[in-house]
Amino acid sequence: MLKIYEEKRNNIKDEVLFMGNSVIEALEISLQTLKSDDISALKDIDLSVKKLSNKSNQIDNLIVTALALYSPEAKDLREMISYLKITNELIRAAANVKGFVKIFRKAFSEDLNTNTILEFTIPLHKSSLLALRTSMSMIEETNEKHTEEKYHRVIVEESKANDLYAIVEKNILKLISKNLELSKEYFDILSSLRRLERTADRASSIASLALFAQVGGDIIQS
Amino acid sequence: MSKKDRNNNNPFYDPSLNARHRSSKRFKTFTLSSLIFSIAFLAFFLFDIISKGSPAFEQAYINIPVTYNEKTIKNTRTAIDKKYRKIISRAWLRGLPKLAEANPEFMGKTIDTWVLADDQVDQYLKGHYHKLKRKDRALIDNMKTHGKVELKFNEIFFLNGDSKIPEFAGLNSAIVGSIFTLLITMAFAFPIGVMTAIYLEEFAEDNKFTQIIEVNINNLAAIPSILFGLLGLAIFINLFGLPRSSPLVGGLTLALMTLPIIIVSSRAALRSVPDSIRQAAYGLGLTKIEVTRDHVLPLAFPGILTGSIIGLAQAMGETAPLIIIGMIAFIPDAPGSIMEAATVMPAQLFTWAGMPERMYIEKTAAGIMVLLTILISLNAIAIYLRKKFEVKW
Amino acid sequence: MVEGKIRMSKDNKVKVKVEKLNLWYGENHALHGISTDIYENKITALIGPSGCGKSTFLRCLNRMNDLISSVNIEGQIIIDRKNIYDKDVDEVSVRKRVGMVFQQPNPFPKSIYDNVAYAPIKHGIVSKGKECDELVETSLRKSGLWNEVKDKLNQPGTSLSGGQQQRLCIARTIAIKPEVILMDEPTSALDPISTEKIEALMLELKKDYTIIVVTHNMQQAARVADYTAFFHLGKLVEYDETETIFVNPSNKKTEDYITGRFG
Repeated sequence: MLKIYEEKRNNIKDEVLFMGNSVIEALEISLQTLKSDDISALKDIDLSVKKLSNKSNQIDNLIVTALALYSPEAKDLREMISYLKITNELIRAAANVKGFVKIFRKAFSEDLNTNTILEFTIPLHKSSLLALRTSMSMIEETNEKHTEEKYHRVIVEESKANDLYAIVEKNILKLISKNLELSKEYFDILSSLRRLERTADRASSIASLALFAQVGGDIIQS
Repeated sequence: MSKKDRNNNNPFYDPSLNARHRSSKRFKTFTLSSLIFSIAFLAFFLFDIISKGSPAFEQAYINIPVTYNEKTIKNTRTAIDKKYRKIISRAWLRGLPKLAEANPEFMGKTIDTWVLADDQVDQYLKGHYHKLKRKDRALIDNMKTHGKVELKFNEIFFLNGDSKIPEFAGLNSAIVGSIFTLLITMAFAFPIGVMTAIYLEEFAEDNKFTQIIEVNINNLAAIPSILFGLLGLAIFINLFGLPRSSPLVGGLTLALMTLPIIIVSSRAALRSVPDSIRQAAYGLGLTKIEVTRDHVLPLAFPGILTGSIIGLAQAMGETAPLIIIGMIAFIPDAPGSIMEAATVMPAQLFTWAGMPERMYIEKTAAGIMVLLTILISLNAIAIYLRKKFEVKW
Repeated sequence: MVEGKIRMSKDNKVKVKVEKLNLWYGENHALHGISTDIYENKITALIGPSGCGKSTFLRCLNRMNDLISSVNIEGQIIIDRKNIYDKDVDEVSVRKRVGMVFQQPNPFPKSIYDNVAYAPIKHGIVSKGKECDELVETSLRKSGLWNEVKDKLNQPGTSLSGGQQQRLCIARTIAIKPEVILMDEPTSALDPISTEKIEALMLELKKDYTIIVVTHNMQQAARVADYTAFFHLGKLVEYDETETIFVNPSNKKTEDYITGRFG
């Protein structure tokens, strides 16, 4: 590989990982707050979707230039295309995380059945976080076998998140039927949890794009 | 499966091609028969020359008692018995005083010596037309049975110059004359020819003037060689006053003739050097002489050398111009310098071919063989040198 | 009019300034009023369809066109504040400072050592012996050939493979310590692996030399060049940073060429 192309590629990869890490960090902090029951601390999470958007545009332009100048083929081409699409996925994931943090913080109060909520939110959150972290780690993975293992792990976590959300939905609807006056808050909680679940979906998209880059096949986005 | 069925299944069977193949075969037959014809001609010629010339490499000697004393040295005819006088070479007898001087112990004795036989004896022994009388023939046959008549290797042919006495005639003076002449030819033609070619190829601009020069050089190569002889006569002998029939004049005349050949072949050799070499050399900031002398010339050299040797070989066989400047005079002694009168091999052979004695026929043929051998060797050397110096790309 | 805006940064020095260069092959007007700046220690690529004049232009930069008698040149080419076509400029000295590598590798039929050593000795850059040995080694190292030939310096230059021969030609050119290196389609006669090696070499060399390369392979220009000039029918159509030319060219002809619509 031409040295100059390798430098540009590494630069792009680092930027993508930086984006991903921003989202992952935010998720880690929010999980910590949930575990330590310090929900108000959620306001300290600093995740600027606008900043990430700018970074995503910057990365996309770098990718266009690299494609124009170096005409990468095969694995190099798949890699570039996957980065191009992963930046979009990360923006959506960041929007979802931000949405979760904002809405959950506003809607959460001691009036609600916090035990039930947290009982299901924390595992759901854990799954989403694990899915996103694993899928981002696939970008740096060089061993094909490990990549495929990680991909399956992400899929597993994603389906776990789906299941968990379905259960939470059922339980919260039950809670709503019992306390109709808190229905808005409960619906908001549900809405925020939905965003958490969608984060897991984004993670599985990222994982399938990373798998496409490493291994090949067709691009499949969910 | 019948043949017809097989052919129907074969998509590549095409009977219309038969006529074309036959025409092709006919063409091959024509060209082959031309080749055979040429080879046959050549073979016939070689066979004729060799069969005529090879007897010349042997000469008849007779072993007879020769008396060495003061009287016989003065009058050499008395050194031998009367009956032998007709069958031995007069020329040999002339050399008796020198022989006695070289071997003083012979004085006062009669020694059996191998004496050079007369040319008629030699021709009789070789089975050719001769003029021996019956008496002499009987004497020779008798002596032959006693082992006193032998055919020995003819070193006279290579050591002696021309002579009116057939058995004493040799090619030596002609060989020396040829060598001197050709040295002069090469000394003039080679440097002038190569330098001209270098100028024309590397320095001259491509305009009408140089084109005219180029056409004329090619024409010069086609001029009948005898005209060069007239030119040499007019300029070198009449105008410059150089000695007639000398290797100097002969060499200069042949140099004029060989010059176009060397120029043309040197130009071809220079042209065959790929231009990329010159471009690379110029690109490095080298001057014209550095480019030409150190890069182009070494590559062109094998070609130049080959062309020069072929030119030399041609010059060696030239007779007509040298006849005009007088090199067919009778030259018994080899020339000592380039200014003395000389002859060259082809001229010598021309002279011998016109002599009446029968022996000269075989000497001429033998001379042709020697000349051919030298020419073939020169060409072989040219090929060898070209292969040796050829630079692989 | 040349299109394209160069983002001139303060540390881009101009090495070669071409002003209104016109060239005729006899009656044929081959180069029309070329004006441009070539920047120091950068790789500038000249691209364009066959017969557009890029090789002719390149050969003007070291006055190689002077070798062709039917050529007429107008205009100026200024290197280090001197027009190389001035009457008092010796063309041989121009070629000492502006070296050239050709399309077909053309090592001299001498030994590898002599190939590199001949010109520097003639120019008086080094004297025979140790000085010269060092120069030969440095040049061969710089062109990435030393390790492959250090044990066979006496073998003929023509015994090397095509890619090695081209690297030998590059070593030979840098041995005379030029400031500018012109390359006329240096890899078009080579296999892909050799091409890659030479492109990597070019990227290394630009630290010490200004490189101008003619290529009919656009991707090569995209890979290695900092600046690209697009020639068409003897005119300089567009000259800009390579990134701009290949992502967003200003002139439609440029775009048509880049996208493969002609040439």
